[in-house]
Amino acid sequence: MPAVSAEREVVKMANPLPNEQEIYEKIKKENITIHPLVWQLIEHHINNDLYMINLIIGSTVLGGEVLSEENARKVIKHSNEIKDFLERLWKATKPADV
Amino acid sequence: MPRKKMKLLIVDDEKDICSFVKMLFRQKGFLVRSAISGSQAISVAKKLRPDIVLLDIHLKRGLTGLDVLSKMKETLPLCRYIMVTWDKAQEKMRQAKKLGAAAYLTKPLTTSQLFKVVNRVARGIGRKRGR
Repeated sequence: MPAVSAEREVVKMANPLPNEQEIYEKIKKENITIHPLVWQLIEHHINNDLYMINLIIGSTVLGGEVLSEENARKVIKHSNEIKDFLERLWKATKPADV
Repeated sequence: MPRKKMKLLIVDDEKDICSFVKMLFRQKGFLVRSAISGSQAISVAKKLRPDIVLLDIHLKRGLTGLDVLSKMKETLPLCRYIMVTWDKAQEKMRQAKKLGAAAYLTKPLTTSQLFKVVNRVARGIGRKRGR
């Protein structure tokens, strides 16, 4: 069977929130920004983990191979690292009244 | 006569990134080596004499990617350097460009983006060799 190029397929993002467009407009209108230090953490952690996940899946698919259990575990590990990072970030940045 | 393989050196302190990028480009017919530190990269580059170096800017220990770029440029001036980082800071991009980087990529990259840039740089080298 020929290898499937996942990157050629149309990939849909998670369903948008019903008011997502409104949220973006509010952010723009009220100039709501994220502190550069927070961005630094987001970019470092999330981008590295996403890059790894993309490389693991990409090299497997492009090589026409089946994802091994070892590599599947690596994908889970990097996904969990994103989740753990978001939890740490939430704890560090949540508003006092939440 | 068989075409000479393009030699690619990957420098990243994450071993997994090195292995998967190596796998990707071997599948595409490149001769690939990797290094997980700046000093190791310099030593591998001396023997390999790569055509292209894919270089992470934020190496955790010792030399940074920009240090490595600066040192390698002295000994391998014809090699093409592609910088990879999560850092979108304009200053880093300017420094890399000033030091002679051929491209600057920010993570997260998809495999197709990575191929596209490496192939563009490789085609440029191929054209020069053909002259």
